[in-house]
Amino acid sequence: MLRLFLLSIAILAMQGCTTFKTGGFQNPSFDANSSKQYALPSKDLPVIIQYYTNFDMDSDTDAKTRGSKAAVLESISEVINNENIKFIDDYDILPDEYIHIYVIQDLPHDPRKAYYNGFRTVSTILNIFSFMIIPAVDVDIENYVKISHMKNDTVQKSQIYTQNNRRYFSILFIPLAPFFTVENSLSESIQASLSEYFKDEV
Amino acid sequence: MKFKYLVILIIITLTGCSTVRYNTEKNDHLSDKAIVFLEAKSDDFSGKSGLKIVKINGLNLDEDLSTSKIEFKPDKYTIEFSTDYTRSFIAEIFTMIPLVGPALMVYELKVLQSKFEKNIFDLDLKGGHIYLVSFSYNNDDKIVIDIEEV
Repeated sequence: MLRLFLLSIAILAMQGCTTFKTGGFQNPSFDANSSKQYALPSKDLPVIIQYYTNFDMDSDTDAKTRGSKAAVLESISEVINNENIKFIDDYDILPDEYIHIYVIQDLPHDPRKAYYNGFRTVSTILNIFSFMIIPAVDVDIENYVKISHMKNDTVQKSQIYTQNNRRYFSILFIPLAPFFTVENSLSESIQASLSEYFKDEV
Repeated sequence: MKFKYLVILIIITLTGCSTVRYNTEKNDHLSDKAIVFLEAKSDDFSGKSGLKIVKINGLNLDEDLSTSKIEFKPDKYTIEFSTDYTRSFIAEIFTMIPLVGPALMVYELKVLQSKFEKNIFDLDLKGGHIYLVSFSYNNDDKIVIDIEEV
């Protein structure tokens, strides 16, 4: 009986909710204007944010969407100390010059083939051994951050950054999410992207 | 022995079967592929409805492509979209209840048979670019697809 109890506790612990990184941080450049001679935009410029996620993007009642949008705003505000950081819907007219930050969060809402099949199989076996009473979910989450300096409707410099994360959690524990959450991973990707974009700032 | 096969079946089922790559390779650099994201909207009770790609360049797809993200080699494509619907776990239970079950199925059929304002698009997909496919309903209850290049 004690063994069974300990085994249950061990399975619960292994199904704890956490997110961890699986991929490196990529920042491929696509612009002809992205030479080192280019003067970085001032952090005092207005910042316009756009957010896209492939699952329930327009839901104003969904806690996850609201949480992600709040995380986007908060993480940008931590790096850029500026009062003019708003979502695009909050602007009536776009300014002549601004920093445009497009955050795209890929939340797989379908059963995709796993990149690392072995890892996913581990979570499946855990599900089976816990008889699906405490079902675990194991998904890849990719964050894309595109930062552009816009002036008079033309792109001065544009850079895209991407980071892969893996979310592994027990469904029952979602409301608790005590460890590194989806919002945490999004914030980290945004802050790393902004630091990289402004790394040559004088 | 039967239990062993049952375990294998469950593993295969839960591991997932749709692919995110149409004609790219696993290690392709971001600048060598165009990424298309497909939006889905959830209904807490019934499930989720979204879009899927059913034809590329006029040909029906042999493999099951993801309904959330697909990678393409940079090129010009003619892409045909269709509706996609997945029943939620709760709805799955309710389908067994008299009256509720049939009503749910009628609703699902309505979602799946919704008409598009336009569902075939000629796209010039560029490497390193992300294409965000969203949808909404117009006043005539037709699905309007919006594709944004980032």
